[in-house]
Amino acid sequence: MDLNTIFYLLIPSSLIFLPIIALFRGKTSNYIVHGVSITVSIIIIILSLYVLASGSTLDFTYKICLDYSYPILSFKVIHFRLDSLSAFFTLVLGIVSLASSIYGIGYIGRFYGREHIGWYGVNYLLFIISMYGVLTTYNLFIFIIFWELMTLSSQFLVSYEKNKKQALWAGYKYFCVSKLGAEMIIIAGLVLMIIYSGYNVDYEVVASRFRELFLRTPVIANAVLMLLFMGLGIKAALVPFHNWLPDAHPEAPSNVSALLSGVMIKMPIYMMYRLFYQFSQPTIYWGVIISSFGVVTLFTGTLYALVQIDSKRLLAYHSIGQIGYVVLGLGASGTLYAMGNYPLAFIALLGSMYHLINHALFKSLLFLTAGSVVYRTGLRDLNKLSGLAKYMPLTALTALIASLSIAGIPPFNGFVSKWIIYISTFCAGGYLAFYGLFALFISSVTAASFVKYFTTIFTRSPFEPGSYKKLEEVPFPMSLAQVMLAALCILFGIVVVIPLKLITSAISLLGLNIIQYQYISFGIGFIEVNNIGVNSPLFIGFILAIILPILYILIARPRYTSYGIWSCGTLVKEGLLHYPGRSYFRGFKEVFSEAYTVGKAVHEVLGVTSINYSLKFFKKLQRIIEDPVAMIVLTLVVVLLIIWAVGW
Amino acid sequence: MIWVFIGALANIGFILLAAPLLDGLERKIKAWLQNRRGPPIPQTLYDIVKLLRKPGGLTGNPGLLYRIAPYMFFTNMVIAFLFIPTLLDYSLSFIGDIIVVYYLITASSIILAMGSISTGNPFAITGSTREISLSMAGKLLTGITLAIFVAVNKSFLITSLFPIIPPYRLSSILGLIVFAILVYIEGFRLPFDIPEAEPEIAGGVIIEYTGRDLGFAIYSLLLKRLLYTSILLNLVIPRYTVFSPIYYIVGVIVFSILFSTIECFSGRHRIEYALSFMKKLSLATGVVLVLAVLGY
Repeated sequence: MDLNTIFYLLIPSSLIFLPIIALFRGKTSNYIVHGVSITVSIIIIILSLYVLASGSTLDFTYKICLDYSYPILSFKVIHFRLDSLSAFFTLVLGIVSLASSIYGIGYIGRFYGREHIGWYGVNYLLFIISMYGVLTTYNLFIFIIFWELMTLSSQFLVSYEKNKKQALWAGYKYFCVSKLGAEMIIIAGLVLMIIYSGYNVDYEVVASRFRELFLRTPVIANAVLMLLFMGLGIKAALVPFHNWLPDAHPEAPSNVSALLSGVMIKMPIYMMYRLFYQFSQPTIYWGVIISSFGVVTLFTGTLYALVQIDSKRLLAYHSIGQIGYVVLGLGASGTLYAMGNYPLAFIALLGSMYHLINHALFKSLLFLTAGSVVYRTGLRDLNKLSGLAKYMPLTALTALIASLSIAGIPPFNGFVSKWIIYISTFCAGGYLAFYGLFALFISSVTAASFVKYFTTIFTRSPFEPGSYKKLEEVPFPMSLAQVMLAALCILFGIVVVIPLKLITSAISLLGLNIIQYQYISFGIGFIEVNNIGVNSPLFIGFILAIILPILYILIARPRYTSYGIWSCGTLVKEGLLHYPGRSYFRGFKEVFSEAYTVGKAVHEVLGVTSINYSLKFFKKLQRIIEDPVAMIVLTLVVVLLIIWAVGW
Repeated sequence: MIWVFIGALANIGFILLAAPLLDGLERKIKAWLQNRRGPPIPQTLYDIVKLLRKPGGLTGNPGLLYRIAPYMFFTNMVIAFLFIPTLLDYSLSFIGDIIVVYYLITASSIILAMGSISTGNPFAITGSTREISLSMAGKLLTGITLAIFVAVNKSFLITSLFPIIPPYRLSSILGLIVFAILVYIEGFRLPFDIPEAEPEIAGGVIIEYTGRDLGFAIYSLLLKRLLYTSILLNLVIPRYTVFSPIYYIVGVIVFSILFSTIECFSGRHRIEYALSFMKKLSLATGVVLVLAVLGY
């Protein structure tokens, strides 16, 4: 069986398992769903690595209607294509879903006897497949169908614990807001179709039409682009539209949170790459708009993360912040491309994509470790958690690696991608230098936030020393998943050549071809675009900076004398002195409170009102759906509209 | 290439000796200004050597992170010196090297903070959160000044961040002044001596370290001070001449005298005052950045 056939069969064959999973309630369902999803993930990884390595594309069409005479049926074929850009994203999906599926085998055990495991299984598998569909389809309509399927299945996963009121509310809010975004994409798609009849919305055709539209009626073209960007931005949680995310992501089971934050919020970014590089040419003003969204997003998201005291909510806010870096890179590259500075545009795009895959790795790892803590203690409150490193050393180590990665500490992976983004923004000058310095500042805020996250959960001494006696390390599948992702975090930080090769292969599709820019060279640094160097002395230095102290402690075993904690002249009992998570960095929060005031204003004016409107809209819609007469009238109107539009 | 390495290593050898001696010099100057006799100049070096020969101490059950933090701080600082030409003109230079130094400094402060929070001592936690808060505000200032230099000089190399040769621009001069203030702040000199705050929280970040660990922590703090001063000097002294080692040594001594004199006449700020000072300074520097982008 060749890879094309596997690619052809992957979606239908995995859909077959859905009813089987739904049949069982308990353990069996857990094993089947994760067995299937692990297999699917491995196949996805193999397919995407093949495409990225060979530079070829996998391509096929499902033929559903052979009658060519009616225009309305002319999207008669469902076109799927795995090109190098899709393959880069499916690789991210494959890696994270592999880890979260392995992790799920252990983690879902929490819900035995409480919840319907089959229900979880159906939605989990459907979620992965729909994300895969979003990435591999080559048709805007099929894209929207998978997009909606993705929203639907993930919404059920968010409100999976149906007895928790919070989870139900979060799921509802998430669904309504995402739906609003999806409507914008649908409207944009319809406009594209109606203005240029032909009813073929394959990406190639869309691209050529978009270009025509830009030449003929730039206003409409920009309006369509704006609609698409807003629709995608809502799903990517760009800042004015972000406030569904911190509610939704923490409520899902932790392995699903990893998928949501690690992969799902990258789906709109994937479409943005296509939108601004394949469908249209980047222009300066679009670059400015996108990078402004990016910098506002990273600023607000991370500053809000600093004040959180719920472990998973903190991580969710950081997802917003880190997506900001990715979008900033995309916007910067757009501006630079439009200004004709192709090498820097290339580097900005490189940084954006590099940060995207890095974020997928370390954020899903962080969610998995937070999940492990929940699995063993049932707690998410940073004021109450303490001293778990002693009982769960492996989880603590992997959480440390992930924290250092997201904080951008060399030699972990987050450092390289942030470094690339700073290079492109600072060297570009102008307004991008402003944005670059915000990104640089926010990076140290991220570091501070993870000092709090890691030390409150893992390292400070336990408040009630007796209470954790029974705690032990999480089961094998869960630690395996964590170790896997942690290893990748280190690998992508040190062996930079692997991700850079993958990314350059993906970027080559977007018209920024590497071969033209052989002269880019950064000496002994990280990027030598011409001849990407790995054995740079720099990395050896970084590794030594980490390894030598550890070796010194482990091998030389320096002598230590043991003391108790003394405070105010007396010996203090361990755990007596309590420094709650909310008190960390209090001075900073007070002095920089203006940032929070501005953030709050933005949040209230844009975030809350937009969500309230969408909720009201859907409540009205619900009333219409419940009323049969109104429903019939509405359906007729829609049908008439379609007939009018199609002119059939 | 190999010569660059050897030169950079020679620089590090010099730095390791110079950092404690400079601190001794500053102590001497402060003593003179306060009409004391003061310790001999190599006193800090003696202190560190003595501390390095003593065993470390463990408080409670703090784990590996606490033990390796001072050593990691030290190695990070030494690695950072690879990228900055100090005595000799050799350094590993590439576009964006300043970012690497920036992150090495961030890494060292967060690792030290993480290590000392693990002890469970409330003074250590207080000191650590202060250290991190101060470092965040400092990084904002660093970012702005960096953006000014890059905007004026269109270069992202440490060795050519600042135009040595006139004509100078208003924004770059102002940026340089702000950077000098930043160097003073980041060196934890007296009004900003908040994370350790010896009389108030008894050492703060480094309160629980003793013996060899304490020795390395103090040594690294001194190296960090010198690191900042060296970056500042690189912006102002001419390089690639026969006299650059002399320029460097003279520059370091001049800044030591200047900084210790200021330190001598000031008392400690509360963390809120320090942070709000830095916030105001950042806002003012932001205006300078606008000037720089506009071409003044």
